[in-house]
Amino acid sequence: MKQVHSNKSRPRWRRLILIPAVTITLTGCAGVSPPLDTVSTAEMALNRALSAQAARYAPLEVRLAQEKLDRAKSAVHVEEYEEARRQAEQAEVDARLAEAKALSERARQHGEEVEQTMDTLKKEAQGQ
Amino acid sequence: MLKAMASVHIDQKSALWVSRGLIVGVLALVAACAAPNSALRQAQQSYEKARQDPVVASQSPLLLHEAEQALRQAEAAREEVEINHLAYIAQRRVEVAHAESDRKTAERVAEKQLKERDEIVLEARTRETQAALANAAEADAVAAALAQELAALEAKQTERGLVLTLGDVLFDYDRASLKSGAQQNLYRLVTFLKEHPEQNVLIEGHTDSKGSEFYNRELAEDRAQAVRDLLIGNGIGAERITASGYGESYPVATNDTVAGRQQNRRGEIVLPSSEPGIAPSSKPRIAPRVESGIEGSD
Repeated sequence: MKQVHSNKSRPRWRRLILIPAVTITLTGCAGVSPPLDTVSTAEMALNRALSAQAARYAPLEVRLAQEKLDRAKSAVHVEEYEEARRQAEQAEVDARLAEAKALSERARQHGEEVEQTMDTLKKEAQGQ
Repeated sequence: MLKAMASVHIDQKSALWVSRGLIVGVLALVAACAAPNSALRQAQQSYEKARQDPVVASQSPLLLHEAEQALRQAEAAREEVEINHLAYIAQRRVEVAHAESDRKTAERVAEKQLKERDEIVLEARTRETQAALANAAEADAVAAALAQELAALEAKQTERGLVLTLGDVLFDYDRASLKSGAQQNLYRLVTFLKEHPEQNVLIEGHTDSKGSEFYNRELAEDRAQAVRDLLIGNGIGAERITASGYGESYPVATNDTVAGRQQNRRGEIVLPSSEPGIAPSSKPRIAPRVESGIEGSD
């Protein structure tokens, strides 16, 4: 109450200076433009992960990426651009990890299949 | 006095509490300051570990570089939320580097095994081909040996199979019993039949046109039977042998000369190819001459 009083007691010119200063600070913090490129990069990374069957091989990472991408979009909507950028960047790296894990797991499984074929072949070769 | 002592005690107790509270407060402050540092420190450790892993370092150098960039940004950042964020990014990039490295290693192993598999398949095929060639060579050798044996028997390939003409060396004139040297002559045939148990044999007796046709046929049949008995006596199964006498019906030469008649007095051993036997010939090879009616035979 006292502060409000003292604000009220401030001269008018001081208030006029304060308004642009606060505005500059706020825009500086929030970022000038929405991080749309970052969001679309994250979206593409998630799509790549999904086409690598990451939903099956790395479901946790896919879920994290999806949630963060949703949060990034919501943050863009309410103009919290800094938060949107972070969420999108994290979504992208989560999606990349999901994709890499899926590809790695599939390569490993393929290797196992090849190994099994090899064993059968070797046995056959020995049987001859 | 007691009261005073009690109050002093209480004062000490409260002082203890205050100091404890202070310590907790300071610790909380330290913890609050260390919170972003711990995420960053963890990311730094993960990064260092990955960088020193020769497999990860060689397989995913680009991702490690990206992780390092995020780390440097995190170290330079001032806001706690940004430090945590960049530390998270760095940490995840290190994890991606590991996954990528794992994938490449798995792919390399699979590739190597596929190559090995191809080699095994190729080797097996080569071995099969060689075995087939060896079998073919063996079959050729058997065929060659057979041809040689048959050549030794002086057999001729005819439409009825292989025909071996024994001439009149086996029998004496007008006799159905084998000459003493006949066994020697038939020995190679016995050997051949023993080596080829699937091979049946036809024994045909032929005479010249001297004497009656009936008599000649009888004589030819008896002679064929004599050869059959000899083969059976040497261990050739009776079911493989068919003996028949054709008499003078199938001459191979003229009966007008001594030499021609000698050619016509003959035994023929036929080794039919597996098809059912064919009669000596649908037509006589040389038209039988109408006999002059001279009695006697051979």
